[in-house]
Amino acid sequence: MAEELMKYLERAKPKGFRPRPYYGPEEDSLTFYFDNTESYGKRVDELLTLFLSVKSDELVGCQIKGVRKKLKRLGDFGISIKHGKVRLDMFFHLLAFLAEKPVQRKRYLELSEKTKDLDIELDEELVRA
Amino acid sequence: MAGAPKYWTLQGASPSGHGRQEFRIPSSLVEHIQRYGPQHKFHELRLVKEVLELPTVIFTGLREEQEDGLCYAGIPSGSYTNEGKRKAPLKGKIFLVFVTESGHVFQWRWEEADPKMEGYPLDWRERFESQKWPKS
Repeated sequence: MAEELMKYLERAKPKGFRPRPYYGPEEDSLTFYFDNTESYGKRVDELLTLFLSVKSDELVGCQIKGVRKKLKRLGDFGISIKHGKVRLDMFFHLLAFLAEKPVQRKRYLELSEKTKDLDIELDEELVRA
Repeated sequence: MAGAPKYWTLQGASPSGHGRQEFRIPSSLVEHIQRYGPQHKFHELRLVKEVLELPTVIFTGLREEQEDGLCYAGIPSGSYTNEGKRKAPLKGKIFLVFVTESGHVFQWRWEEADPKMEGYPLDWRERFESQKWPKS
């Protein structure tokens, strides 16, 4: 069943802000905003886009692509995914370690700092896929 | 969103440039943005429709494993604050909508525009495999 989105938007309103990552299995990407500030995207490379504040250019979120492959690397490094949960700061720390360019490494470490104590829940079957 | 459908639909331009087609956004994504924000991103769903209907350019070849994914770029009629206030489009920016080959919308955002090519995003030559429409 599908319904016209614009009709829904006529009656729907946003409910607020809570930093909560979103994983889209079809596109295999993880989007995470840790600040409600109005933002725009800045592409770092094929696999990382940052969201920066329109007013101050401060980092307020990110989109990570190719998540499944990266999670496999976590396993290679002996980091287990328990009950489908992944610690985001560990994930970004690993990406910093694997980054080829200094600018990428810096950005991943910045993201690791911003996501301390945050988990993302993933379907374990997806992680194993 | 009790009783919400699995997908919300919206109409837009076919990537071939001929006619229109239906696009789908998973209700789980819309619900996530509605519930957790950021709020401006929820209001920007209106801009998604504008750009899908009237893009300035459509690219294909987003990245590995999204080789057939599409990017619709355009300058919509406005932008939104978190409070839902409508303002002028962001200066020096362009609105991008990312779609899988099957018409599944999965990302939308403002990005820096190419200052030398109106209606195009920055670094478009390097980041996309090819321009789908208009044929160059």
